[in-house]
Amino acid sequence: MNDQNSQPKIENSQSTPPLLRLTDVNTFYGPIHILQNINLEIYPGELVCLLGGNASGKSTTLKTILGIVTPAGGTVEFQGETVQDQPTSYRIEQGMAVVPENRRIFGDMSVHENLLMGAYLRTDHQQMKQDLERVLELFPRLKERLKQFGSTLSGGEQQMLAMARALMSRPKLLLMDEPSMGLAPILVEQSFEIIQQINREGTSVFMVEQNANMALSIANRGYVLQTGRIVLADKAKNLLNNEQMRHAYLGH
Amino acid sequence: MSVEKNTQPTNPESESSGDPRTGASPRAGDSPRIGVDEWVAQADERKQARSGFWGTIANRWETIPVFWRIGFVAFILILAPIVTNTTPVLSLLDISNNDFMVRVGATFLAFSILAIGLNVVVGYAGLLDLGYVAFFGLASYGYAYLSSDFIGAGVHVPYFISIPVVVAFTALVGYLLGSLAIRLYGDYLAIVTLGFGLLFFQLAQTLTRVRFFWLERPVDLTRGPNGINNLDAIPLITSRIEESIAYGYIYLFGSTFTPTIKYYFLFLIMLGLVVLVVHHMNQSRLGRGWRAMREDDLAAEVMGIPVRHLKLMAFATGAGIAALAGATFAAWQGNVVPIRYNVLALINLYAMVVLGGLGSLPGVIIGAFIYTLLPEILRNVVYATTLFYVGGLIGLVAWLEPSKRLVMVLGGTFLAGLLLKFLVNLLWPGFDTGVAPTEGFFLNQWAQSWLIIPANFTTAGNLAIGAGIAALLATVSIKNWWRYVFLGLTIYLFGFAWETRLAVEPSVTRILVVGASLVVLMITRPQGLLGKLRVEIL
Repeated sequence: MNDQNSQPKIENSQSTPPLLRLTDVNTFYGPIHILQNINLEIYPGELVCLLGGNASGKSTTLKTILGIVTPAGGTVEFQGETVQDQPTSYRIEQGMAVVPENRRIFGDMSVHENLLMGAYLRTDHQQMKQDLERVLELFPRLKERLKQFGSTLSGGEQQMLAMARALMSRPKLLLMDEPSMGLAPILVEQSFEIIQQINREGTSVFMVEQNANMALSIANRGYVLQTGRIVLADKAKNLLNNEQMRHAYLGH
Repeated sequence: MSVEKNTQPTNPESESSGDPRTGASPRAGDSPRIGVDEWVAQADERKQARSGFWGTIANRWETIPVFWRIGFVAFILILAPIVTNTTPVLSLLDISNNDFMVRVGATFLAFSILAIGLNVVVGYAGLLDLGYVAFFGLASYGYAYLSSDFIGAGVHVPYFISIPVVVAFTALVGYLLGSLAIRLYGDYLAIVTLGFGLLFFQLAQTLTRVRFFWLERPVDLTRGPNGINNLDAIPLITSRIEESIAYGYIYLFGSTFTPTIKYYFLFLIMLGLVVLVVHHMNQSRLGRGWRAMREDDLAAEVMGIPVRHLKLMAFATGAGIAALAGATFAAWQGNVVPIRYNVLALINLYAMVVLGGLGSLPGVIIGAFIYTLLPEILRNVVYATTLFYVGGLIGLVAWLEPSKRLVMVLGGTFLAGLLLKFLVNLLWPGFDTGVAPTEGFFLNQWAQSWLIIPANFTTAGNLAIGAGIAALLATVSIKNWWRYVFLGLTIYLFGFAWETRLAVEPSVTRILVVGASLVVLMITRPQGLLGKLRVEIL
């Protein structure tokens, strides 16, 4: 696995075309080669996690998918369409949504306005109202605090708001950057349950995580990233039992 | 959206129980309901519990419906030039130039339009644009080219064509500058836009001999520092109609009609339109996008908000609004001079916006009002003195609130002053001359009958300024009851300094007072008068 091109292939029996496909993606920050020949696929309805230590390129992968950084080489396909030259707003419009790292909710805006920001590109107001109801049902805590400013929420509530905001765009693919960061264990469990629920309702989820145990316990598949290369790609179950994996990330 | 609407607007208990400033007291026997957000549910109660001098005023004002509030302000603004231009009011205000107040008013309106435009860029979109004043200038020059004898034998496009053209052109320039600077953030954007502003100012001053290869002689594009004169005025429909309206105006109100009044109302109508448009922009999806972008550029981007487009929209809107004010301002003044569009003008505009509160429309207008009116009022010694004493009193009331402490401080200072004067006159007759050079205004007379005024009051006054500042610092930094003693001392020393030095030289005092009030205001209310305090997420 030291060779750049010898990325492990995953045996996937699914015949449907992938929702998201990254092919030989190379991303640079200035002269620094961050992502090296990344190949990954997410199929409709899947819950996939991307694991890796610090500075392994997890967030960069997400940024490349979203179009905040442009890859120097390779293609990013979303629903069969090549999108690596499209702006972020186009990709969001096509059905991506993100729960950013550190939540990044809008502190000066009310919870309600925050949720509306998630649906910024939508014009179907009737549907939006329904979605608002649905999202508030999923997060009853937010319903109580609809008029409150984002900055007055606690960390856990901010995480909920970030998730709810992402769901407001009715995404086909939900991208999550470290949803467990800075949360109490019980809140981590809660948010993972909600992620599972969202996934069960038909949204594909791509999750970047440090908490490998938790992530693999709910994911279908997982990729392991190490210094910008994907070193492992397998079913979540197999990864949990993988000797190397257990040694490096799971800690037992 | 509180889960349980609280149906007790006024809680009689909270008035009797202890210090009203601590907010709503929890009701006895009302344990917190689990799962219900108390903070949200008690929002109305907290609002009611807002007390003190300013709290009461704010509560009263908020009980008036918005329509009537705006109507009230508009009514005053419409009536102000009519009333101030009548002879009795002019003689009462001791103004010989009957256009003076209206001119100040029109300047205020023009600057509030400009400040609103700046507020769109800086307050709403959060783009630190230091080239804003160049758009103001560009529009003025644009109007000058279209409506004066400057080009060739004279181009005289009617105002209803030239102003829209100038506004559209300037908005386009704003859009282009925005698209150059769009990738820059914060300080870097500020530097690039500042460069644009300085460039405009320098070019306006120096483009007097430009050689085009197809022309034999160099062309004067701007007439340099002297600027372009004799711009077309904006007539009231036609000059005939203007005359007849002018007569009707005098007949109706017993007031003098001047062109300034015409521009005053023109600016007022423009201000109304601009407020309407900007308010609706800010309430719409666009405004929400701006606010999101201002707060977190990247988060807004990943929400799918077209950040680039919104930034350009903000730049173009700001430039367009500046152009509207700029072209009209040039028509009113009848000239354009580069000095009007220098960095100082930019700083003044920023001061208005920050003073009133970034992002608040009424705040920005109030900021422009204070910032244009205050220096003008302070030109007159009588007004300045009134403002000094009344302002000081209001400041004291706002700080101490109508309480026993306030009465003690004021009464104590007064009695101590009288006692001191009596003792000095008794022990050292002739030291207190009791005469200061200020005019015979009743406040001055009263103050001078209370203060000790030695023969050499100039040196004493200078010393008193320093001592007064020291006493003020002591008042602010000491926490026990000694602070009230120092407060009394501060009042005495500043009163003395005012009578002997500051009121004597209004041209210096004017700037000092404006500066001091800005400093005090920004320390006490860093978010500006009507601005919202932003909470950082840590």
